[in-house]
This record gives sequence, C-alpha cells and structure tokens, in this order.
Amino acid sequence: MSIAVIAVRLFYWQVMDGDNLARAAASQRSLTWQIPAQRGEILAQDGKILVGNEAGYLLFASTVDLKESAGIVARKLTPIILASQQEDRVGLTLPKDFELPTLDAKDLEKSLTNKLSAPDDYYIPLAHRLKQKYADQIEALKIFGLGLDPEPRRLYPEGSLLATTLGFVGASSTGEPQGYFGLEGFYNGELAGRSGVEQLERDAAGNPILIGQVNTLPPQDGRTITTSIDRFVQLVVETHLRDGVEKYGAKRGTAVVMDPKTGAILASVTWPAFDPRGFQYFTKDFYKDGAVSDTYEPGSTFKILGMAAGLDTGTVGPDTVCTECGGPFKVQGQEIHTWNNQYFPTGETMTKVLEHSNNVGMAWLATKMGKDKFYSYAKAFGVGEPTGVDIQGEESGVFYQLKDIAPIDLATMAFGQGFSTTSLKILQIAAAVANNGVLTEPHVVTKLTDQGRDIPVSVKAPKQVIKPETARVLTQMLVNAVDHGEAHRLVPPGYRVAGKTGTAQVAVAGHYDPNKTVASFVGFAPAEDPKFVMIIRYDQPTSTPFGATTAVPTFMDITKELFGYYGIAPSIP
Amino acid sequence: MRCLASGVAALTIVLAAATLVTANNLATQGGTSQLLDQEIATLQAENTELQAENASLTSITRVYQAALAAGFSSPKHLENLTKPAPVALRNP
Repeated sequence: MSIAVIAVRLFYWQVMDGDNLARAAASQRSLTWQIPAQRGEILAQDGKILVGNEAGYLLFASTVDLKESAGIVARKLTPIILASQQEDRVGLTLPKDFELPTLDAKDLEKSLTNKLSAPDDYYIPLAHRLKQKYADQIEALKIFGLGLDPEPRRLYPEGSLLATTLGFVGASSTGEPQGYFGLEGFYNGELAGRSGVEQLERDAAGNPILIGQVNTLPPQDGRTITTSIDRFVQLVVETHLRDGVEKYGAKRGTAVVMDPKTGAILASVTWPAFDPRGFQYFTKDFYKDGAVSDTYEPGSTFKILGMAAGLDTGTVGPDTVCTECGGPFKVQGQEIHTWNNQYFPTGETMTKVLEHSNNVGMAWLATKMGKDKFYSYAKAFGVGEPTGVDIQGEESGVFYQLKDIAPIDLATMAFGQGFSTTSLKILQIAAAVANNGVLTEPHVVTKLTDQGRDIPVSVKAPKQVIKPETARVLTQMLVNAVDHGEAHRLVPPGYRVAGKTGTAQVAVAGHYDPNKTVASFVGFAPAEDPKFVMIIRYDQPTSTPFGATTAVPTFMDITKELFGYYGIAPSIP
Repeated sequence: MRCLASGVAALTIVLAAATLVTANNLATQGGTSQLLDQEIATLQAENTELQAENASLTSITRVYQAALAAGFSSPKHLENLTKPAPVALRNP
C-alpha cells in the first residue's frame, strides 16, 4: 500500500508536475545579472576627454528585507547622502544671481523615511550616482536590505566648458541612461551601447558552477566620439563671451568659431548656461545651445547674402552706385530708413552700402535683383532650413515661401528683418564667402570609435553657392567695412579682418521694441586665407545696443588671441 | 583472469575517483572564479578612477586657473619677429 502511495506521488512529481518543478529548480540554481555597458566618451580634437565616466552607484532598498525600522535606517544614511550631495555641488559654475536650492538634512531624512516605509517593495532607489567613497561608507554600515548597483557617473574634466554643446545624461522613462540636448542627445544611440546579460548555474552558497550551463550575451560598450573642438579656443571664446555678457548687460550671449574650409566647429559657447555636473538644478532654458536653438531676426549680418547674390548675378558690382540712396526707400506705401537717418544722394557705391550698413541701399539692390533671384540664393545658402549640424535641438527659423514675398518683404529681407534664422546659419553663410564661395555643413564630431576601430562621420558634400570671384570681391568689401567701421581701431594692427555688424530690432507682440536689440558681428580672418570664421551675438545688451560697440570688441579680443595661438603673422607691414 | 578482473576493477575505481575529484575541483573553483572576477572589477574601477584623475589634471580649465593663481596672465601685446633671410638668398 505504502509502495503504491509512493509510486503515485513519484508519478505526480515526475510526470504531472515535472515541468513546473524543473523550471523552479532551474530558477533556484541559475543566477542572472545584467552587465552594464560603459557609455562612450566624448573627446576634444586633441584626444583629451571632454566627457568621460567614473564609478558611481545607485543605492536601493528592499523594504521586504529590512530588519531595522525605516526611521533608523534613514537617520544612518542621511549624513552620508547629504555629504555626497554637498560634494557634488562644489565647483559648479553658476550664472550671475543663480542660487542652488538649499540642502536640508531634516528634509532628506524625511524623504528617505517615506521611501523606506513603502510596504513590501523589492527595489526602491534612494540615491543616485554615489561616488565610491560614499558607497563604501554605506556598505560599512552593514544594513541588511540595502544594495548598491553600478550606476556610472559622467565625468566633466573641463567643468562647465562647452556645456550646451555637450548636453547631459539623465534618465529615460524606463530609468535607463539617456542623453539630452547637444551631442549627448544627438548621438545617444552611439554613446549608449547595449547592456549584456550573463546567466549561469550556482551552488547552494551562490558561487558559480564552472561546469554548469553558462549563457552570456556580452555588453557592447558605447562608441567614443571625437569632436573638432579645440580646448584652448573654447576656453578663450568662453572667457571673453562671459565677460562680454556681464560687461554689456546682455540677457544672453552666443559665440561660435568654425573652420570655414571644412565646417568643423572649433568652439561654441552659450552663456548663461547650465553646469552639466549639476544639470538637475537648472531649467530647460539653460540647456539650449543658443547657436542652433535660438532663432532671431539677423539684421545687417544678412546683408552678406544679399550682396553676394547681387554680385554673383551681375546685378551690381562693388562700384555700382545706388541711385535711390538720397532718402528713405519707398515701397508699397511704406518707407525704409537707414539706421541713423543718414542718406547719400551721390557716391553711395555697393562697397559704401556695406560700410555704412545702408538699409536703403540693400532694399534698392534686392528690388533691382528681383525676388526670384534673391530667393534662389537664399535657398542655395539654405536659409529657412537646418544646417544639419550634429547638435540636438537645431531650429531652422521661419523664412518665406517665394509666392508669399511682397515687395515690402523683399526690401526688408535684404537687411535681415521680417524672418528668423539662427546664429549658426549666419555663420555658415559667412563661411561660404571665406571659403571661395563653397558652402560646407557645420559639424562637431569628426569620428566615432568602436572598440578601437575608427568610423568617419559623413557630412554633406560641399556646394559651390557663389563664384570664387564673387567671394573674393565680397571679402574685399567686408574688409573695407571693418576698416572704415566704427570699431576699426579695434582691429589688431597689421591684420585684415572681414566682417559685418548687425543690430537687429526685436519683435515683441507684433511690433519692434525700440529699446531691445540683438547685437552681433560675423567675420573671418585673416581675410587673405581665413583660418577661422566666428560669430558673436548678444541678446538685448543694455549698456549699448549696437553690434559695433558690443560684439565687435569681443570678436577682436578673441581674434587677437587666436592670431597668437595659430601663429598667424600680420600681412600688412 | 582473476588478476585481470581485479585490475580492471581497480582502474575503474581510480578513474571514477579521479573524475569525482576533478568535477569537485571544477565546481568549487566557481568560488575562486568569483573572487577573481571581483578582483578584476576592483582593478577596473581603480583604472577608471585613475583615468578620471588624469583627465582632471590635464584639464585646460584647471591649468588656466592654476596659471592665474600663480600670477600668469594673457599677453597684452604680441610682437611677430621676422627671421632674417639666409645669406645665400640675401646675396644672389
């Protein structure tokens, strides 16, 4: 009888419930864990780390396994986590008048107690990205029910330098690391890599059994990206721009330096900006890269395109005289004035139009050329479209459709008002002039590296948008504009710098605010063989509204340092 | 015949024992393997820390701040020196 009972029981275990029991046994003896992938690094042009990784840990609690009360555990953890948070704040670069929220031990302890009081939860995150030393201190407490998972920290050896171009790494909706803004956002897929998984059999003590079954999916570390950023140029530009924002009382400043021959971006600054080491303390406005995300009416810097079109189509030459520059330009019952109400009845050549930044002269030129030709050049230069730069958050601005351009629109478009674009687009236009009429695609990243193998990054093929002769003539006109402009004394002696100022009005609630401007200067040097092209832009400077008295001094100060850095000798004896 | 049978039996026992010992060693070496893995992880973490320290020390921002603190400043004036032409070129 007993044998029969045993037999029935055995039959049940082996046959009826065999599969379930086998699965339960397998899960009991198998150990599965995720092998995190290392996020890729971001390197400067010289191979030095702009963004790297350092060890970090996520502290979590399994309230099911906690032996001590939530309050006691919270009290033990608070001083360690507070010290970690305080250390993370040391050395953060903060904009003027920006204050970090106060760290309060009591609030922290209360928050931890609340989390630890959650009933029967296996995984409650308590603190993120703790440094090794704080993880060691927590381990030393030997609190049962707490665990530490690897959660690498992003490392920024250059502090807040290049913040808006780099972006930052936060968490996705599923808690995975996710890049936001800048390069971290644009190249998130390349940088993230793929976590691996390992599953093997373990003994009763939890040790792996080597002769047991092992299934491994190795992690794939993220790719490293190498940029064209020159750390020295970045530091110089950033230092001068921050000083300028302060000095001119501007709401915001933006600067970009680019190699006109390749489109490689050497430096890019937006200030005020966030510090990626403490990105969580800032709002979204601080994350945006002003060069690609802030659209504005460019004003007189856009005259470069209009003049290029006029020269290239043969509509005008550098010595062509404007026949309607003796007074305001009348179009569709409206009048277009010069910025200083100064008019030139005679002798106002196209060269002088740029020198005087003459709105009437440009309106006359555009009207003479006709909207079809003007528009075709605007589209050839890509106005109204993104440049394609590899920075997340690029805007294209708002530009006209050909059929919608009225005569008044054509006239105002010629001096950069009535539409919007970005600083990077204006820089790209100037770069084409500096590069013998060839338009290049701006880019920051030059290559990706995957396990030691370099993968070049493809950029759009360069495009000839104006004739080389047009570029040469226009360059001379822009040098003349600088040499005879208000800030000619600021040009480093012996050098030829080509450029154009811009002082654009700011549209507010359907009209232009007379007290607000966007002051800018775009230029390249040395004019005979440009090594760099640069744009400086100040939004709503309060000390003085003009590009000539704000952006130009900053441009020239930076240019002086870059001449020395690149070893560029003066060309004028 | 009896000798042969004894020999085979002894060999079987020895082989079985050897298999058992080997399997046991392999199984228990799982513990050693785990310790080694932990050591590798520790060394990798140390290496990452050293790389981070190297990156911080070679940071241009840090060097610039240190230079300022040491009293260095950007040059106010740059003079470009022209090299004299070689003698052969000067006297054709």
